[in-house]
Amino acid sequence: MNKTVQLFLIKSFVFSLLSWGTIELFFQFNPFKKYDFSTAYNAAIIDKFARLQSIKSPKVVLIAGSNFAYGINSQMLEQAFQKPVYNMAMHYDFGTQFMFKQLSPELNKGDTVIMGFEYIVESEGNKKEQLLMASYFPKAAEWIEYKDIFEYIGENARRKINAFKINLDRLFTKKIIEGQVSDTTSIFIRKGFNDYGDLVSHFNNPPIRPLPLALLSENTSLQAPITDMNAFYRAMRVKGVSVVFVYPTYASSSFKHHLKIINKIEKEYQKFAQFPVLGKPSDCVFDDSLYHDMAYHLTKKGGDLRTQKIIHLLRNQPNL
Amino acid sequence: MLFNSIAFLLFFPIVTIIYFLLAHKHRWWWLLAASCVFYMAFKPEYLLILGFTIVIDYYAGILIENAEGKQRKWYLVMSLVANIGVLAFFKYTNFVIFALAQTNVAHYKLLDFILPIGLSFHTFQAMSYTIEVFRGNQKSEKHFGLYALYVMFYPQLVAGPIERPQNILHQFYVKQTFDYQRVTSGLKLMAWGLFKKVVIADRLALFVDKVYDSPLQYEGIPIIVATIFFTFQIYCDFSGYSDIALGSAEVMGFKLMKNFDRPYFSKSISEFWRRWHISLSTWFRDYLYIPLGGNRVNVVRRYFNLFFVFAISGLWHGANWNFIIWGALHGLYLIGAVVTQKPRDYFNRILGIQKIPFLFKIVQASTTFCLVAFAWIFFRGNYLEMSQCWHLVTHLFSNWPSLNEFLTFEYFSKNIFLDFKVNEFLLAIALIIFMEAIHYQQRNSSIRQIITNYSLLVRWTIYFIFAMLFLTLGIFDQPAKFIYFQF
Repeated sequence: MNKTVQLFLIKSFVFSLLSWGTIELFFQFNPFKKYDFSTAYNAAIIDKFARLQSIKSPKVVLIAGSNFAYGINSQMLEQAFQKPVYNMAMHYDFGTQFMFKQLSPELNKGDTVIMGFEYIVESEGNKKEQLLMASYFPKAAEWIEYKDIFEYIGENARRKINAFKINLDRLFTKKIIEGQVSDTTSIFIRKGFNDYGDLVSHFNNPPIRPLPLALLSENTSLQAPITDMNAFYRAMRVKGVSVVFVYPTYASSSFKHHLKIINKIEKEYQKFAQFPVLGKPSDCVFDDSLYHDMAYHLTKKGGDLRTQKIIHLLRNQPNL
Repeated sequence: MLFNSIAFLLFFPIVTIIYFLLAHKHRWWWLLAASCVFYMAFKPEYLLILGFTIVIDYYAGILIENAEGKQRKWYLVMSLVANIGVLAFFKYTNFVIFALAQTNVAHYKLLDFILPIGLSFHTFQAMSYTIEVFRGNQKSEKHFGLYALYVMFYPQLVAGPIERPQNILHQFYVKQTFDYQRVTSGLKLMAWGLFKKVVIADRLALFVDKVYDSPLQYEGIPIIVATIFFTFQIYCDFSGYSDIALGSAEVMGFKLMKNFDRPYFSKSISEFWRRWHISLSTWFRDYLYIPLGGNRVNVVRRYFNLFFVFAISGLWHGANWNFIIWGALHGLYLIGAVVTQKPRDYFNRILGIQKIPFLFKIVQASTTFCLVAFAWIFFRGNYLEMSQCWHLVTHLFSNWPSLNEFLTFEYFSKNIFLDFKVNEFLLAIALIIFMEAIHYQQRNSSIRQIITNYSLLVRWTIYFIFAMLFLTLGIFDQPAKFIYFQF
C-alpha cells in the first residue's frame, strides 16, 4: 500500500472517529439521562415489568397498544374475576412480535391473556420506539428482532442520531418539562400509570374537541399480526395459559368513516385467527364524547363502560 | 441497494478498496460482480431480465458491425425490439390492459409483478449502444464482461445518468490508479448528493406529502407551497442521486456524464431541458427527435415532433396518464415558446425590460420556474386519481384569504407552514436558499476546488460542520427511496 493510500485511510478513520465520536459521546454521556429515566413514557416498562413479575399466577394480563392503556379499568376487572389483573399495554407501535416476546416468559399455567390490538398494529413494530425502551430497560433489547445486520446497525445508528438531535435541542432551548399526573397537560409520562398498569394521567386533562378522525389506510391488513397472535396462542396453550382477543375500542365517528376497512379486518380475524375472538368490532364503539384525544383513547368514563363490556364478553366465554 | 442505506455505506468502501487492490485485468469482473450484488439487493430474479437484454445486445452489436446493407438494419431492429419488448411488457402491459378495460374492449385481469428497478434507464443505455454501433460511432465491444459492465455499472445502473458507449466503454480499458485528489473530490460530490437527498429532499417531502396525500382537503396557498417544495424536492432527490453516482464513479476513476446543471436558473423551457436530466433529454434528442426530422422540417411537423417526443418522454417515466400529461405539457410549452416568440419580443421591446438585463433574467427564470412547477403537479400526483389531480390544478388560486385573515399567525401556520412548526418551515426554506447559493457560486468555480485550497484546519472544520449538519438535519426515520427509482 503506497503512502497516499495510507494517508487517505488514516484521515478517513480520524474523520469518521471525530464525527461519529461526537454522536456516540452525547449518547453515552447524555446529560438528560437521569431526567429521562424518571419522566419518559417508555421508561414505564421498568415499573410495569417489575410489577408483572411480582404478581403470582393465576393472573390476568392485558396486552395491546394505547387503546388498552387508556381504556381499561383493571381494578374493575380484578373485582369481577377475583384474580390479580395487570395491564401491560403502552403503545401499539411496539408491534406484536416485540410485545409477545416481552410477555411470554412471564406467563404461567392458569394465567389468562386478553389481547386487544389496534387496527393499525404491525408485526415488526417501530424499532425507534423499541430501542428507546431498551435504552431505559436493557432487557427490552432481547425483545427486538432485526431482519439482518444492516437493520441492526441502521436502527441503532438512527437511535443515537435522534438522541443527539433531541439533546442538542434541549441544551439550546432549555426545554425541559417535568410532567406530573396532577397537571392538566401531561399524559405520556412514566408516572402516568396506576398500580394496575392503567394510564390515568389524562383523567384531569381537558379532552380534545372535536375528536379528530383516526388514520386507517385502505390497504391495512392484519395478517402478519394475526400470524404472531396464532403463534403466541399455540405456545401459551402448551403452557396452560388461556388467550383471548377483544376488538379495540374505536370512536363512533372514525368507526363510521372506516367501516369498510374494519369489516375487511374482521373478516381476516374470522378467517385466520386460531384463538377465541370475543364479540365484534362494534361492541367497543362508543360516542365521540367518551374519547379523550383520539379514536382509540377513552376517557375514564369511557374506560369504565368499555371494561364492563369486556367483562360481559369474558363471562360468556366458557373456558375462562 | 439504496445509496442512502447502511448496506451501501458498507458496500461502497469494500468494493472500492478491493477494486484498487486488484490488478487491472481482474477489475472488470470485480465491478461486474459488485454491480450484480447491488442490483440483486432489490429483486434477485430480475437479474435474468438484464442478462437477457445484455446477451441480445452484445451479439447484436457484433452482428451489426460485421453485416452490410439491410442486414445491419435487421440486427438493429432485432435488438431494439428485444429491449423495447422487455420494457413494454414489464412497464406498459398493465397500463394497456387497464385502458382497454376502461373502454369495455376487453375483460381484464392485471398481471401481478413488480416493475424491475431502473428498467427504463438500463434499457435506454443498452439501446444507445446498438444504435451507436449501427451509426458507426462506436465499435462493437468484443469483451462480453466489459459490455455487461457497460450496462450494469452499479453507480448508474438504476437511475442513470443514461450513458453513451463512446463515453464510458473505453474508460474500462484505462488502468485507474489511486489519485488522492480525485478520490477525495469524488467523495465530496457523494457527500453533497447525500446531503441534498437526506437533508433537503426528504425534509421537503414531509411538507409535500402532507398536501399530496390528502389533496381534496387543500385549496389555494397550501397547494402552491407544496408544489414549490416538490419542485425543489424532486431536484434534490434526483440530482442528489446523480451526484452520488458521479462521485462514486469518480472515486474509482470513471467520469460519467453530467446530468444536471442548475436547471432552476433556466430562462426558458428549452434551456431547462438542456439543464435537467441531461442524459435523458439528449437521448431523446439524438435517437428520436433528430431522426424524426428535428427542426429541419416544416412548422407543423416540427410542432408535432416536439409534442410527440415530450409525450413519449412522459411515458418513459411511467405507464400513467399523469406522466404523459406532464411530458405533453412540456411539449406544449416548447411549441408555445416558438409560436409566441415574436409577440413576446414585441412586448419586451415596448416595456423596455430588455434594457435591464438582470430584471429581464429574473422575469424569464421566474416564468420558467412557474411553468415547470405547474407541470410537476401532474408528475407528483401520479398515484392520485385524475379527479384528485384535477382538484389540485383547478384549486391553485381558490380560497384566497382577505388581507386581515392572511396577516394572522393562524393562517400562516395552517396554510403556509402546513401545520409544521415555524422553525421547521424556515429551515426548509433556508436549505433551499443554501443549495441554490452553492449552485450560484459553482457557476464560475467548483466549491470542491475552493475548499481544497484552504488550510488543513479550515478544511477539516468545514468537513466536520458539514457532517454534523448532515447528521442533525437529515431525515433518518426511514431510508426513503429515490423518486426516480420507480422508473
